[in-house]
Order: sequence, then C-alpha cells, then structure tokens
Amino acid sequence: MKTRLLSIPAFIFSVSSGLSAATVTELCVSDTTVHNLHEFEVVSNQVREEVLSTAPLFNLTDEQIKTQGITDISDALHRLPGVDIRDYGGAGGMKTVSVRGLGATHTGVIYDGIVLSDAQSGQIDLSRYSLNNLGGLSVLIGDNSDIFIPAKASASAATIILSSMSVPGPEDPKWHMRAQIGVGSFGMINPYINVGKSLSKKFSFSIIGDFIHAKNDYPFTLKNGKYKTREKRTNSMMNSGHGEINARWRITPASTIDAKIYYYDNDRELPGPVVLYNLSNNETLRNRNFFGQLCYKNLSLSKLSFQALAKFNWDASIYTDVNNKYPGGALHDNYYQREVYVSGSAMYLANDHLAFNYSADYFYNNLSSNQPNYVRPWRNSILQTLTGKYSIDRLLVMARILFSIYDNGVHSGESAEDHTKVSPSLSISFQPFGNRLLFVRASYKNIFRMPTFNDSYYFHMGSTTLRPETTDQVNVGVTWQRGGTGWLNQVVLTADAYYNHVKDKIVAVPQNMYIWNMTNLEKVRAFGADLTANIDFKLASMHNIVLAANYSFQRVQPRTSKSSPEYNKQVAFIPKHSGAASVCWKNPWVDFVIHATGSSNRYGTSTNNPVSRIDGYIECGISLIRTFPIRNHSIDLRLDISNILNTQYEIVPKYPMPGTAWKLIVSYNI
Amino acid sequence: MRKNLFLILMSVVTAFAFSACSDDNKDPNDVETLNGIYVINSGNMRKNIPGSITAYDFTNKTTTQRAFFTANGQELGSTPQSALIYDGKMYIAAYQSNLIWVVDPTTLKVIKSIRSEEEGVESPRYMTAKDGKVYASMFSGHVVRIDAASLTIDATVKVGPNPEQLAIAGNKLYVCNTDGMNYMNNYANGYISIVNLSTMKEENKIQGATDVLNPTYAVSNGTDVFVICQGNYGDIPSTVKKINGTNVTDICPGTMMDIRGNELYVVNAPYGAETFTYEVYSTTTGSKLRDMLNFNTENSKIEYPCGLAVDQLTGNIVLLSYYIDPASGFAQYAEPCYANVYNPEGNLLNRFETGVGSIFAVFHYSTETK
Repeated sequence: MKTRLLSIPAFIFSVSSGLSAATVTELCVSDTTVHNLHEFEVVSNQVREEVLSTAPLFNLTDEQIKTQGITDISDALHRLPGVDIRDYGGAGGMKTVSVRGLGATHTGVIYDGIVLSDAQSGQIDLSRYSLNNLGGLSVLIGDNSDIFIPAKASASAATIILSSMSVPGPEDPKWHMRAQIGVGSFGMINPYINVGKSLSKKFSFSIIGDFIHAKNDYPFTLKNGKYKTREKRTNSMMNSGHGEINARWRITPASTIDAKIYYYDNDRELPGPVVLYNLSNNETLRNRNFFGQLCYKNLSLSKLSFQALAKFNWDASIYTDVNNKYPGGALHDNYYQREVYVSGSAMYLANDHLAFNYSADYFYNNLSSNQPNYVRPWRNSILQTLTGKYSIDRLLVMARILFSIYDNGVHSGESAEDHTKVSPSLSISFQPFGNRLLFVRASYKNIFRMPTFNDSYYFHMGSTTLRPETTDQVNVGVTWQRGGTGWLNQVVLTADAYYNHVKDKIVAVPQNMYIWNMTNLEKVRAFGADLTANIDFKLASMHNIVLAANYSFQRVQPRTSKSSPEYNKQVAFIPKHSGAASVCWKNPWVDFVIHATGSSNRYGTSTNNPVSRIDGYIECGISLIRTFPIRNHSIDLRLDISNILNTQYEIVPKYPMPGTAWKLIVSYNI
Repeated sequence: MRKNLFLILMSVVTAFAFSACSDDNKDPNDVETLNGIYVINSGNMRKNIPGSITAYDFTNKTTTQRAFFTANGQELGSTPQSALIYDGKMYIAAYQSNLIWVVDPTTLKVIKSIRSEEEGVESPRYMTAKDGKVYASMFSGHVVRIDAASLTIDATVKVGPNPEQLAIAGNKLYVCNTDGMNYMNNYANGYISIVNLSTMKEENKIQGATDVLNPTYAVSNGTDVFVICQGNYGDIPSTVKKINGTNVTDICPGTMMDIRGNELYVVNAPYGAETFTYEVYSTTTGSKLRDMLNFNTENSKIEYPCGLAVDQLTGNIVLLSYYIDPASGFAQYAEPCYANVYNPEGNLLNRFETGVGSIFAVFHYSTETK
C-alpha cells in the first residue's frame, strides 16, 4: 500500500532530506519520536506518527499546545492518556509522572535526544521544563519501530520526550528572535528570549534565556468539618532561571554535530502540606543543574549510519528547613550528583525490508552529600541494545534485546548489589485494509529499574540487598486516521488496551515505630484502556473546529497476597477514570479554546480506606490566541484563564491546587 | 464513524460525571463517655488520614471513631501525640498542628486551644501535671507550664533538644531530651533535664551516652522515676532505667512502659525481635513480679504493640496494636489499629477497633462515678 511504503523510509530518513527546520533532537534521537512544527506539517499530510507507531505514542506539537489551550507542562501532561501526575501545585510545585500505574521511577525523560538521569531518586521533576522553550512533547509507552536510538532511551517502561526549539535552518541567513513576556496571577512574571542565526550554510546557533518569578501565594478554601475558611499559600515564592546555548554544525549534508550547554537554577520556598491550625513553614529548596552535550549523527543514504553522543551532567539539590527542633536550629540536606554519559549507535539497512541497530551506552553516576559519613555511592552502567526491524507490505515488526550491566560501589560502607539483566521487547503493527489508514498494533516489553541511591543508601532506611523492580507490559491497540474530505479536515482516533505487571516493587516497610526499611515486596497488576481523539472540522473558509480528547481507564491493583487487605483494591493515588477534552475554534479574529481535565475519586491508601478519599474533580479553562503579522515580523498574544469555575481540588493530599488564575503572554517574533 | 466519535466523547463525559459529587460532613453529634478510654490516633498525613480520637465506653461497650470530630464538627489536627486528663479537663497535644486542645473529658467539647506565643516555642508532645499546673514538652526544646485554672501558659523553660515524655517526682520535673533529630550523630546531645518546679529552672542534667542514650519515655508514681532510653536501634538496646537523684540503674530491656503504685508495666518489642515480652516489675526491687498478659485466646494476642496504658483506678491494662499484614508480615501502619483491654490479672476483657496510627490511651472516669 502506497502510503505505508512511503512512510517506511520516512521513518528512518525523514530528517535527513533537508527539511528546513530540523531540530537538534531529531538528529540525536530520531525522526519518529520527536519532531517540530514544520516537520509535523509535512508528515501530517501523510500519516501521523501516533497512527503508525507500533507502541502507544502520543504527541503534543507546538500547534496542539495552542489549539488545546495548554498552559504549562503539568497541563500538557494531563492531556496525554495513561499519565498520572504528582503535582504539588503552583508554579513552584514539583511535578513527576507515572504512566499506566507503573510508578514514577519507571518513567524516563528524554530532553533533546538524551535521557535525563536522577540516580538519587529515580524521578525527574518535569516542572523544570517550561513550555516556552518546548517545540513538542510526547509520551511513548514501551518500544516502537523507531530503532536508531541510544540504548538508554529504551531502558524505561515509558518515556516522556521533550524537544526544545530548534536552531535556524541552513538556507536561512536571517536573525531569528522571539522575545516574550508572560504575566499572571499570584505575582508571576516570565520573560523569555530566544535568538538564533545561521552564520553559514554549515553552522547555526541559538541562545535561550528564561526566567520566572512567582509569589505563588494563591488563595484556597480550607475545609475543616463544618468550618470553611479562605486561606493563602504562604512560603511559596520562587525564582527560577534557565539558559541554553545550542549549536549545529552540518559537516556534510548527511552528518551533523549538535551541541548544547544548559544551566538551570531554581530557588524556591516550599509551602509544605496544609497542616490544620498551623500554616507556617520554613522550608526552602534550591535546585541547580548544568549539563553540556554533544551529538554526532551520520545519516548516510548508504547502508550504514552512525550516531554518537556524550554528556556531562551536574545536579545540586540544596534543602533547608529552619526549625528549633533541628540541631543548630536548621536542617541542611544537600546532595550533589554527577553523570558522564557516552553512547554510540550503528544502523544497518540490509535491504528495503530489513534494518538492524546496535547501540552501546556507558554512564557513570555518583552522589555526594553534606551528611556526615555519607557512603558516597557511584554506579557504572553499560547498556547495549540489538534491534531488528522488518517491514513488508502492511506489516511492521520490531524486536529488541537490551543487555544491561550495573556495577555499584561506594566510597565508604557497604555497596548495593551489582545486577545484569536481559530485557526483550517486541512490537508489531499491521494494516488490515490496504485502502484505509487503519492499523492494529501489539507490543510487549519487559524492563526493570535499578534501586535508586535513596533506595539503597538512605540513612537507616536504605537497603543494599534490593533487587531491581521489574515490569512487563502488553499493549494492543487500533489506530485510525482519515482526512481531507470536504468539511472534515482530519480525524485521528486511537484506542489501546493494556496489561502490566510489576514484580519486586520497592517499598518502605516499618520494622518498628521508628525504623523503616526499603524492601522488595509488592506485586502490582494494572490493566486499562487509553482512548484519544483528534478531529479537525472545517466550518467555513478560515474557520475550523479542532477537538481533542483523551480518556484513560486504569485499574491498578496490589497483588502481593490474597490475604492482604490491599489485594485487588486500587493502588493509592491512581484514579480509575481520568481524561481531558478541548475544543478550539480557529478563526481570523481570535482563536478560542475551551478545555477541561478531570479525574475520578482516589484514595491515599491502597486499602482504599474511605477516610483517605481524595475527591475527583474537573478543572476547566479558556484560552484566547491571536497573531498580528507585521511585515516579516509578528506579535502573538495569548490570554489564558485557568480553572474558570474556581474548582478547589488536590492532586497530592494537603497540597491545594490554585483556583481561577489568568496569564497573558505577549511575544514578538522575528 | 460519527457514532464512534460520539461514543468516545460520551465516555469522557461519563467519566467526569463520576467525580461530580462529594458527601458533606454530618452534623456534629454528641459524644458522652462517662467511663471509658480515649485512644489518640496520629493518622497518616501522607496518606490523607487525619488524626483522631477513638472513644470506648465501659458501660455500654460502644466505640465511637473520630469522636473529637463528631463532638466539635472540626478536625483534631495533624499528628496528635498524647493526652492528659487532669482536674476535670482533658488536654490533647497536636504535634504538627502546634496546639494543645483543652476539652471536656466527658463530651470532648472544646473549651480552649492553647499555643505558645513565644517565637520558636512549638510542637507539643507529652504532658504531665501537679498542683494545678500542666507541664507540656515542646519538641522545639522547651517545657511550658499551663495554669489549669486560667488555661494559659504562665512559664516556659528551655530544656534539651527534642524533649518527649516528662514525669514529676517530689518537686522535680524529669524531662527526656531525646535529641531525636540528631540521629546522624547518634543522639549525642540528648540528656534528662531535672527542672525545679518552684523556680522553673533546669537545675540538673543526667547525661552520658552509656547511661542515657536517647531517653524518650518517663513515668513516675510520685516518688520513683523510670525512663526508657531507646538506645541507637542497633547495638545499644532500648532499656528501662530507674532514676534516683541523678543515679541511673538499669531495670530491664523495654520499649514501652507504664506505672501503677509499686508496679512497673513493661513491653519489650525491639527492632528485629522475633517475640515480644510483656512483664510487670517491682518499682522497689527492680525484679520481675509476673507476666503482664495471658495470651490464652486468639483475640488476647497482640500483633504489633504501639501503645500501653494502665488504669490507675482499676489496674486494667490497655494494649494498642497494629494489625499485621498477613501477606508481608509487616505492621499496617496506614490502617486502623485495635486496643485490647485486660483485667489486672492479664485476662482479656475486650477488644475494640481504633483509628490509624494509635499511639496513646487515657482512662476517663466522670466525677460522679468516682
């Protein structure tokens, strides 16, 4: 079938063919998992990646971020199916994600082609990444047919893929600039600038600066039995800055080097949970992150392609709590992490149907602290993947073996155990009818996560004898796309059902009232369904209605033992039903978006104790967007009003979310 | 196709409808416990379970969960730690909420809430009382004195780091300063304060890692003071010690205790132990008198003790316990606990369910019954 055949080379080489705005990331990771607006438009005339992907893949492009009225990274994650966010509320609140009930430590995060690491907690705080600078956001669950990736990129059960804005293309000698200012409720101000230029046909660069100040002193309703009071979040101020320098050197038409230097610094007060009768809190947290990365990619049209990358990462977490209860009147918990990461991949195209990839990654992580007698752990990791992809007519098959070696050590004390594992994954897509863009897909992935440094070494609590936590995922799905007939511009529907199993889940258990230990204890079973719909109607010339909706059903059950009161209940904090929907009216005057996200009731306990119930909610917002072209320049105006119904809800218990808030963004583009 | 689309959209809408309503809280009812037990449950903040009081009535053998909420229509607060009934009033220390509730001990209706106005004097833990004054340890490193008539704090004394239980013998207040937040340095700065009640001054200290490491619990029968030094949860075990002036002598291993007359009730349930012991010791000789409890029926067994209290009036004994998860063998810290009531001979009288994180129990007899 023609579309399918076309799409296969496009899978592998869509970037190399000189699309004008290829991003840094595409060259590093690959074409199918990341993209930017320009490229998306090219691809969307054919078949959307979400439809072709052999494993569930859900994208939010720069364009979709607008048409769905997405206001921040947390909101964006709510628009992706199967994703549960732990959101502590407000601009300064930490946000981590768990996919399909597997837990946040099983979610990998890729930023511009390279997997981010947090060896201490195993979780990436996504509040660090601002939408200002993102050209796109995706979630990939399992492994899909995108084979030319580093080994570490396939080492998580699910992956959030973030792609930053690109550097200007080679045929574009002009200066590019976006200067933007955002202002909003609760003392938020957010200037942003992105300047880029191609100095020659071979060399382009961009410089990015982003700063947010927010007081975050939003009001909330505190309900205490028969009493209701209006309170304000206190001790919640944040200053956060982030800068990047990106450069691309096109050595030959087929080979490029991308470089990035990144620095992030966030200094914030932590409001803490809402404690009845005592709202004061004195905690502060400073996070600093520096990294530099280099990616080389040679996508030749011959049979063999290469890529190589290197990264150095430094991360500091400086936590302070001022309270008389601590020795010296304050607690200082400072942790410093470092990572060195190198990777090489080779892809071999045996013939039109068969491709192979071999990737080998090495990374070294360590952690130091101001804690007395801290063990100072380190870890050497060697990951290798061997992947084969076979495509013929209407069938696409991907099979991968990941071979992992983890070597743990400490500077003093007892080291965690070393582990070696082999993890298979397989995914298949089949197009049953040659004349329809209807695909049936199935995938299986077995993967594990290593015990984090906290799991292994945290004072008194860590255990060095932990085994990795293992997951198995099975997914079956149907995707369908149709477009270009009269009033209906495009319809994309996906439906997936899954069955996951987590074994040896690492949990803290009480040894007595004072001593807790980490142990491999629980088994968890998850099954559910993710549905998405994206529909673009043409009302009249220049008038479109764009609908986007996702719905997730998740049944996540503790299965450790039948005699346990948790058995087959719903795991704490996971809703059975969640979803989001948005409607955008695109028109020549002001684009108008109304959107809603919501979740059913949840429980704070896995026994579903009714006292621990967390009420479900629906949050609605609106966005107004208008672009004013001024010759070659433009001014974009965007007004968001989030939580228009002023719904009072919590995602993490005792951390109230903001009520109605507004945000105005003005950006000037050259 | 449009039908399919409709179905998808409908399913989204239906999903949202599930979350639409929530129950409003019931109107406050009256609680009346003329003779009974109040169990303080610390709850579990991370798991969204508030602190509470379980009221058990001896006469009707009824249990009221969340009795404070029922009586007052408002929550007790975050991590309540202990309670004291003195001079017709009940004092409840809510640690994280940083206040001491004063309630009517029969109805649990709030009379007043007390917190220190002094900067940095906060987080009440335990209380004891004598001669019209209630003394409360504050985790910030202080003891406050509350006048039981005016219900105001009329004196504050600085003691050691992270004080927990306190006990009075004669004119002296013994305060266990655990230095619990200094676990990284093995509780090095912990000690026992001896505060003169007349001057409200810390006039002496009992310290030294070998004698008093991590002193946490203290009881007194008016003349003798006993403390439990919890040790380091490692090679130095949790031990019951007798204090005589500033002299310290070991009595027995133990992790919880209470006192009645010349008898010291000791539970030993240390970290990693296969079996726990429940024994009664003589306060005078320091030797074991008898086993505290008879585990002659299935219900009389204690799965994982988390509190002990002896009724000063009747000699009945209350043991609070977690349930053990049969699957893992670990205590279910986020689930409701239970209380077993034994007669002075150690035979089970009754068992009742309590709340999450039961931590402390007090006996209450209304004056009429007394």
